[in-house]
Amino acid sequence: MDWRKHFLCCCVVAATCHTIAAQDASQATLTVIGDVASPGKFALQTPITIRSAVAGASPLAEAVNVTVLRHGQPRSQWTKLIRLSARDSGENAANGDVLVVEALSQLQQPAPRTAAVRTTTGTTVIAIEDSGVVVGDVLQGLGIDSSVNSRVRISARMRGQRSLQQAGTSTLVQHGDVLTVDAPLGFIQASAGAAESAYSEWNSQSTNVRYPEVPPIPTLGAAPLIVSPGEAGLVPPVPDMASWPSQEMHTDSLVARPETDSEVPETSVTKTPQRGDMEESLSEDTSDVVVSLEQQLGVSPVPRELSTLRPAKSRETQTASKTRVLPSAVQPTVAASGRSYGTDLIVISVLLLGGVWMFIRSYRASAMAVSRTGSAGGREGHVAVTANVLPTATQTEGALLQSSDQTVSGAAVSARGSGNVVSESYGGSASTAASVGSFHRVDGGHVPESATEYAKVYGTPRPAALTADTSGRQAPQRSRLDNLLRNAVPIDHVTPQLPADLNLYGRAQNPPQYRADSEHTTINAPHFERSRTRVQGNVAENRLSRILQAEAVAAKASGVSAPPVTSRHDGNGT
Amino acid sequence: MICSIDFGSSVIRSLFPNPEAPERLCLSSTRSEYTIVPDTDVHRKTLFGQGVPFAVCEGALLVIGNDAARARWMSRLPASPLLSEGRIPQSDAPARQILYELTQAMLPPLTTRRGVCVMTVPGAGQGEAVAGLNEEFLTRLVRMKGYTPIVIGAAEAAMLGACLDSLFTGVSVVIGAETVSWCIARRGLVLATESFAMGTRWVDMEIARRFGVQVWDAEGRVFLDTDQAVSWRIQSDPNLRSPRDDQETALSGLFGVLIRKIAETITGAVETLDIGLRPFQAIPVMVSGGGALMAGLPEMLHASLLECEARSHRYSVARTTSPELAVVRGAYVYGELETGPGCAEIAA
Repeated sequence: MDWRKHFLCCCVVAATCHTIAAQDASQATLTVIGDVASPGKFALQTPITIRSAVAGASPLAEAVNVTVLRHGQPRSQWTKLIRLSARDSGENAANGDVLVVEALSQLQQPAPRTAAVRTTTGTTVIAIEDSGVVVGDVLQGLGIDSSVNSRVRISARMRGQRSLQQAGTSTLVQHGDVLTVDAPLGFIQASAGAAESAYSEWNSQSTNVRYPEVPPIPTLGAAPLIVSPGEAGLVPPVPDMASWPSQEMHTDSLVARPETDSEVPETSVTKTPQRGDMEESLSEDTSDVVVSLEQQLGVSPVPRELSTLRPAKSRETQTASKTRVLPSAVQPTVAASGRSYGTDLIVISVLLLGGVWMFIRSYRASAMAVSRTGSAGGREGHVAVTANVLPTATQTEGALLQSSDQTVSGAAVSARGSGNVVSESYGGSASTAASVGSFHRVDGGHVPESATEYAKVYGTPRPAALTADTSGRQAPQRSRLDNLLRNAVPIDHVTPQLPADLNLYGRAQNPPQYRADSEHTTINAPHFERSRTRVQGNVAENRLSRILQAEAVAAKASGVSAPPVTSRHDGNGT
Repeated sequence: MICSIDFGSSVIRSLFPNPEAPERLCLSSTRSEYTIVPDTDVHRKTLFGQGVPFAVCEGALLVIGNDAARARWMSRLPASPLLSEGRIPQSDAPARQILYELTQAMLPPLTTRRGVCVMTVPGAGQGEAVAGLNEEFLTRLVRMKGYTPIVIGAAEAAMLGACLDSLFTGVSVVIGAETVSWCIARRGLVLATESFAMGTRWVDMEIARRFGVQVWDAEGRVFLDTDQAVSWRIQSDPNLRSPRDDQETALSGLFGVLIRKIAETITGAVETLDIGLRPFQAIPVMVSGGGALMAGLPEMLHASLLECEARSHRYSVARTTSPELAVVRGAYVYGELETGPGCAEIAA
């Protein structure tokens, strides 16, 4: 079906872009979408102005309106009119900026229809190949579980359309949309392997589509090979990273394409595949890659075959190989696929830690449940066991869990000291304790930063594992005033409590300035329409007086006693 | 001890250190209005039943602050502002007492020997006489809590709270409910400041009047339903630069008048001042206040500034982060700067 193919294309693009975004997470990036010929993500290696960034993406009109969305900001910060022929105003772009370019004149050529998705892990550019793509499609393509407290907003839209604070899964995604996903529990799997799983999940639902397969790239030299079991024959074999020279991977450049092989582009962008049929674009890419690989590896062209497995990874491999010229042709392949020996080790260690944590959690949960039962006068034997295993942690947990369903930090348990079985199991290594602690946090994900707050929450001194900087670099220490000026001080909202049984003296007045049935003599300036026609005095009162006088005269003429003419309409409602 | 309080015509906000976690701050905010409910048994029972706190005055029940909206359906009248037209009410005794009670409730108890409360005073655009009366009354309320009041302008506070990126150089504009304030500063030194009595409440009243958004009380008197106009403006989130219907066109036109006025005064002042920017460097303009939440407002202000500009200045207009909190946060920063290292006793 045609729509399914388009959606497939969108998801593949999303998965591709997301993988690249995850790799570039450590460096500053800038995203440009909208009416530009080359939308995508720039790597901010040097300070760059917004105008330069827009010009680098090849805007399709001479005058464009650029909406800037800063990283972490829910709304657009400003919209700026940029003329390519005018001077640069010198406003620098910042890391994480999303620039939505909107042409103010007729487009010189059709623009690639793109949108940006901002998440906690970065910004992803997606290509919209069909007008029927909705938010749910995008979330599914990116591997975001929309059912887990994720909230999607459309922070910016083109053509003067208003933003949406809450976008549903059926909301249409349009060209130039900037989607912001707030996912406290849902997440984008930030590693390269995460893109695989997201793609596999999607791919399992669309088994009719087949993709050209790229055969393995021949290895060079005697480098050791690490091949995952499921990837044999589908992805290029990966040599050991340790044997490579340390070089960064650079993607295709939009602004300054290097003239020579050794020149590194100053501003590079990860190109999003353009519109067009998926199969055609893949075929074109494959042919391009064949030439490139031939030149680099000296191998014969590979035949085109079809496969339903892992086209995204192969596609990344091709793109990286095409756009990067390195001394060793295998390096970009490995960098783009994101799999290496070190990565596997990290994944394995994370899985092991997760298993350990799951065991600890279940063990402590059972212990706590037994403790609660025992305190209620239940099975005494189990209470005794609990007291031996977790004498202090259970008490703290009980206090915390009464107010919140969230678990206590594993590092906190490790800080309980000797005699604690759980502490001994994983508390030996400082880094391990810290990493486990980062999984489970107290108070809505907030791990107490200061020693005093930590001691207040947990009742024990803060362990050294949490105070040590595990990333290896010292975090900058800012003063309180610095944090205040940078708006980095967390603010808690409280509600003012007025005293009960409040007795006030005097009589309250209705809001006089809101009266609409008399002349607005007190509406604050300026009165643009009423200033010339304002009538001195109270028209309503005069009119009422005239009516009452007329009634009095009529009543007098008819011989009936009329009420006295006493107008009390003073215009203030009192 | 340092705290700040922003007496806004629409919302009163205070900021002070969290007593349980000193590295965090507490924000207390309440709407500066109250709703009048008839003092009958039925109304009392209804308020009790719904858990709405109220105060008692002569012949009426008053629902104060954020709870006023919950009781508005019983009075069928728009809520009465505590600071009508940016003025402390002189003849509304309950309103003055409510201001006292709110001030006492929103400022933390003084735990040190001395305390500083940096405050903004409404009515700056109503003239010095009105501003003086407001300041005299409100500073007295703060003193009654034990703090030493320091009065600061809203635009100056917003400059401290939001213009770090421009090194406190440029223009700070605060669009409030009753007053628009702006100041031009160079390295934190205020070169010029001005306020005028015009704000989003005027826009809401004009919208309510043009489109007949009215309510009737039990006696048949007609009132402009500004609350409904405000709700529509906030919930529909219209873009001022691209109105879609008549109401949004009218709203865009009214904000256009407001913004044009701001742009005229700013450009007039910029021409006579040396802000100290490099040649051809754009003048940073930071917009804050509740009115800055309107979509498209910075862009409209930027266009108006360019239209009003007689010389070759260029502007970079941006909306501050959390524009409604910029003033009270800047006032707190001012307090930190005033106390400084030499006043450790106050800052403790």
